[in-house]
Amino acid sequence: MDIIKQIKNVFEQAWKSLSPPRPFSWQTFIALSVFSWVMSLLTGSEFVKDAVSTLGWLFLTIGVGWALTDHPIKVFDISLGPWITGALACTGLFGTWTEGDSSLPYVSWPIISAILAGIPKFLKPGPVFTTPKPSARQDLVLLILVNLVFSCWFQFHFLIQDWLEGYPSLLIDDFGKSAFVTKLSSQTMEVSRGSALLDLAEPLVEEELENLSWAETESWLADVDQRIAAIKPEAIARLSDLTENAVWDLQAQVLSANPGYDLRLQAVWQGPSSVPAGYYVEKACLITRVPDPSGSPEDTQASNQVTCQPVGPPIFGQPNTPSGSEQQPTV
Amino acid sequence: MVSPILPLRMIAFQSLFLLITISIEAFVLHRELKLSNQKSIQYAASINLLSTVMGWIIFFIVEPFIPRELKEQLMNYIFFDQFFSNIWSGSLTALVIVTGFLTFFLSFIVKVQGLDLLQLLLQDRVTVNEPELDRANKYQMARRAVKDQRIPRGEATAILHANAASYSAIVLILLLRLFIQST
Repeated sequence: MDIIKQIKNVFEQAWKSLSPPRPFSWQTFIALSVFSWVMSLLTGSEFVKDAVSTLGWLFLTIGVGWALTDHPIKVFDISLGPWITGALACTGLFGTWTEGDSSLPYVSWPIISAILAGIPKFLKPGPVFTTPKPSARQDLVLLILVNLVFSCWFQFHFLIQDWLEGYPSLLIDDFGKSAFVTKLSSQTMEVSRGSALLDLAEPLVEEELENLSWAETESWLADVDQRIAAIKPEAIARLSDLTENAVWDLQAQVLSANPGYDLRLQAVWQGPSSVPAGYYVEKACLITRVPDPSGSPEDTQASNQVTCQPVGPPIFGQPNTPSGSEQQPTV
Repeated sequence: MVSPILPLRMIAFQSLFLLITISIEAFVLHRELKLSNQKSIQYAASINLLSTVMGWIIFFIVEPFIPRELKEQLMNYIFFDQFFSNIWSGSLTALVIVTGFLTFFLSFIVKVQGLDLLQLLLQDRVTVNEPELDRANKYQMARRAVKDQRIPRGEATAILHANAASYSAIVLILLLRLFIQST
């Protein structure tokens, strides 16, 4: 019985503190906000839902702002109220903070909080709008400027993200020496788009060599630089269209392997990099001849691609295991 | 939204530089304009924050118009602290030097105008180094309606000295960092 009485007491206390003492107080606004939220759940039409939920955010913002003015939460002598209220206002005005192109709430949050923090200086008890005293103006100036700097910092972050979206192959690189950014996760799961480029180049090369005789193949391989340069625009066109495509180059090297030839397809990165000469990724293709009863069809073999970090183009990285079946060479 | 790359170092460096420049400029303003310690710190803070914000705004406005190869050099500098060889490599030294001069003079102008605006806002006119004018001179000046005396020469000179001092400090820190990294 005692416990039940205590629980009842707690509820009574909570109800007392949350119920509005006068019609025009912050509790009213919180209640209105909850009411709006419930209403928005009940209505079916999208438009009404949006309107009501915006109203709900507005009431919530006003309510919280008012509550925090009466009972401020302070950190190091600076009231946190305007920043919390500002965050709520930005959410209500600009939508979600995590999806899609979410830069607007972050960038506007410091400015709006500064404005909210500065509003009291413009009011005389009344409330009457007035220009602030000169002694209060210096604080206002510093408040607004500091928050503008924060906004600029947020904006810079989103600018960097935009750059990285255009040049995702940068993410596999080492950002240790940067004076501007840090890489938070040490794991790099990204695979350079050079691999995608080589995967796209492979069928094009196969297509080229498909119906050639061995002599023609050898002359193709002798002329490989120009042949690959001819394939390059097609291969790059098949990549997803990003700004970084302009700094990828497709090259090839031919070595003689014991049966046939070893064609190394190389995607060379010519853009920003921590290593001055850039890097390249390589795909080794073994080109051999398969005997056939009716003629001598060409058969090209691609083993896996290899990623490397070289100082200059002709230096290799680690080879991977070849995929696909081996063909018997002709003698 | 969660990205592994955050501009935390930039924030740290800029905060550090702001603290240093504000302290240095406050000191210079205090000595040359004979302002109280609190006033000189407030003035220095205001004009430096203003100049920083202006700088960022100019950067954000100019950035979309930078040609692709030059932007790649900029990215290489921001992400990897070096430059690489493309068509802009030859002109980079000249570009960096010109940019350095431009930022010095632009920040100087912003700070002078900023201080003027601030004093106007705070109704705090400080008149410095105004020579004692006798009646004849005063009438002469009034007749000529000298408009360009709005910024007393004393303040512009003080800000020039302050700017020079703070930029020298920044350059020293950057050189120090370069030196430490190369050992």
